[in-house]
Amino acid sequence: MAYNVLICDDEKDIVSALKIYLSAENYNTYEAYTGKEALKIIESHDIHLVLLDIMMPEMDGLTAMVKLREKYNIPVILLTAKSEDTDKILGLNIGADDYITKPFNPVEVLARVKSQLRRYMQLGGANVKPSNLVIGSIEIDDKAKTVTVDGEPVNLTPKEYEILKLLMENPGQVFSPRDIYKRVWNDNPYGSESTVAVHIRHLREKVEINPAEPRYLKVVWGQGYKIERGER
Amino acid sequence: MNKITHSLVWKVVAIFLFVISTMGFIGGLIAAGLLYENGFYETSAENVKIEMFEHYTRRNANYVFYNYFLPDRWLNQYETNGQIENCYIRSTNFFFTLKNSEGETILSNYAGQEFQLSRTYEFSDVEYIYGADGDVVESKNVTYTMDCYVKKDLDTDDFYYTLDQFVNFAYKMRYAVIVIPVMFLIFSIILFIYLMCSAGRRKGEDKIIPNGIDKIPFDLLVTIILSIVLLEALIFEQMYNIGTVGYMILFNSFTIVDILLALLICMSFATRYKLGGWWKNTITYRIISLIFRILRKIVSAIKYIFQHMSLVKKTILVLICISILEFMGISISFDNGAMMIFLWILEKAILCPVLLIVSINLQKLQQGGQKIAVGDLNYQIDTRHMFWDFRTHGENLNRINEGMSKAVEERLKSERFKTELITNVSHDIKTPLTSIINYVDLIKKENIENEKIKEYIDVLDRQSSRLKKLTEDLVEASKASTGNLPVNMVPTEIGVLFTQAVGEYEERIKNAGLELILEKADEDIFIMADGRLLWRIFDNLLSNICKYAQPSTRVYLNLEKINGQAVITFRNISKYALNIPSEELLERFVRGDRSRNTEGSGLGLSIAKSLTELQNGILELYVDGDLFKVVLKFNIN
Repeated sequence: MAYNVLICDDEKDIVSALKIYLSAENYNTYEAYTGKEALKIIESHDIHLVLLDIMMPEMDGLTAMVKLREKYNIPVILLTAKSEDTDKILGLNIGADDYITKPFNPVEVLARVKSQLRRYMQLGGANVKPSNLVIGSIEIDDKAKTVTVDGEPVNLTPKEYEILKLLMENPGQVFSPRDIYKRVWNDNPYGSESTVAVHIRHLREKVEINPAEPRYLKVVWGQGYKIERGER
Repeated sequence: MNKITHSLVWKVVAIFLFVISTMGFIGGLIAAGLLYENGFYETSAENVKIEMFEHYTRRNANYVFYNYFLPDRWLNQYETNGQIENCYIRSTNFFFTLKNSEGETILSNYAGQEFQLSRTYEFSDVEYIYGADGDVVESKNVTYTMDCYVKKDLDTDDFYYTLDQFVNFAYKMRYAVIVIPVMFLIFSIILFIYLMCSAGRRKGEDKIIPNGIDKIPFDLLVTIILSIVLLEALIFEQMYNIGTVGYMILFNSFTIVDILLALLICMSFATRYKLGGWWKNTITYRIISLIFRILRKIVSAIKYIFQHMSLVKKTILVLICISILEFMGISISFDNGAMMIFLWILEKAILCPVLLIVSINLQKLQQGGQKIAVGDLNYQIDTRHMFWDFRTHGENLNRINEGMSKAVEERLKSERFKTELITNVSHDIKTPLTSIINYVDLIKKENIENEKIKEYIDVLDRQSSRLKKLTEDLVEASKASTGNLPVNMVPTEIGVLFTQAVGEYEERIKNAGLELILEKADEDIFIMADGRLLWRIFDNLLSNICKYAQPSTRVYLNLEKINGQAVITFRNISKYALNIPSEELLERFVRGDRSRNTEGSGLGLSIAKSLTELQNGILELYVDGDLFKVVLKFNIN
């Protein structure tokens, strides 16, 4: 089944570029250049995901999203040139599912679209085993010792798997590198905590769409690491 | 009414009437006074008459004795000893019988007529007995008695008769004599009021117009008039021998003159009063105001001198004054201990509060100065209770502070404006940049056979991502340098951050052909910092190292605790010769190398420094040949 993705940006070139990328991945694309147009298309078509620019003429992205959310539960990814944290938080608080800052990496956009669609379409996670650990789109099957992100299997080393499991078992809790070393290696680190840091980085690269801006596996600088339940 | 008060004719008439009326009042008053003096209001007319007759009879008796009898006796003492006929006495209502000490009648014109009043008076005289050679042999006192009578029917037209008539008339009129002056007085008062009202008025003029007299200084005018009155009194005194009629004429004319003069003063005063500020046209006022003006000039001159004197000179002057006063005090009380102690206490009682006030002022200034020095730009010294130089100084400090706070405000505003501008511009740049990056990527995915184009696209790719980094860094740099970033300071363990940073960069450092050597204290070092910002500092510095460190060299990362400070040192060998001073390295857009081909914006160091300062830390840069060293210092929590 091909998903219908609405691309809404007042910049035609950006819309065209995104259209090319998404079409290459077999998505059906719809185009809108203002918030009003976007709402019209959503009313008349069965749209599965919206890529929404914030700064647009006539009706800006945030207003359009508020209106959209009155009726629809479809995933919305905001596109914006504003990179300030406050803007991100505002966007997510009024109902966005994800947030991409311009200039964006097309690969990242595709990954995020895929992730959101998978979560939205497989809502409720019917095939999730009760014994599985799930945080956002990360899922650990402890029996099979496998990890999937957005349903795709991820290859982890045993230590990486142990670290991820530890963090997912205690979501929100911050573990210092020393703690992690003690728990995973069952040994005192004696100055080799940086091993943990290296492992975490690798883990982030495997699990996160954008390792520099992790959604789940967060670095608390100067304190340690933690897993957070998705941004919503 | 205006017609009357403004008419000169009416005025002259009124003055004339006023003089007459006042004269009448004075005359009546004198008459009433005389009547009162003679008992008209206390006894009957008969008693008044008897008293007056008595008085007059006594005068007549004296007259007869001294003017007729004695001269006669002296002249004829040896020849005459009988009755003397005197024509002067015979034709009056007055009779008398003069007797010597033996009771013999010497002189008489009384022939037994009926009388209404009889009085007996005694006269004393000395009689001399002369010897043969004409010397006085013996002297003896002689007493004479005189029986005097006033005729019952005053048929002769003499003084008794006139007196009798006058008393009878005056007695009848004795109450009218009171009423008449009162009426005159009322009339005078009415006229006076009218004259006061019309003073200074002129025909056809609404304003008060002073005449020549009104221009004379008032006190001078009064003095002149009083002198005239005094002169009159002197003349009056000199003129005692001009007789009753002359006297009366003189008295009346002087009285008229005085009334006119008094009226003149009053009218002049009224005019001046109406003009307002009557006291201004007086010599006294002029002198006093002149003195005041001079005094004020002197005071302001002293003030001026004092104001333009330097503080040191002022102090010296005050000290000299105090010393002179002290010396005077000591001189006065040199031999009086109690006095000296009293003066000493007095001096202290005056000086202590003054010194206290001075020191309070100084303290206020000191506090204000301190606040300003510390940077409290809203602080204003309270100069309300200050004085002299302290006040000026305080106001100056306040002005400096105001100027500074204004300058700071302006700067903040312009910085904020700059940040906003940079942020907005970079937002605007990002949109086309997104298209560029995306389409470059799309081109890369196309099947391109031409090697040159592939090479060119690589350049485009690299430069567009560099532009992307540059716009991001630009916003960050401007925010960091203006403090336009939220800073969330929490206790942070630097060791953990170290570990994390190393973990993040381990691979990149290895890829850059570098060896990372970590030296870290065993103990945990906590500082107050915002972990995210701290990581950005590390990120920038480590990424710089990856870019600019000479491959196959070691990179040293130290964490030490020195003098209560966490000191983090990054050391590496530069790939390029660092021929720029370290200060310049920190400046925006200046990079360690001058090549523009490597990635990065060159803002890394500058952002790191700003972020360090935002967290109350210090970033220092050292360049020693090719050795590049960055030192971060934070206070340990």
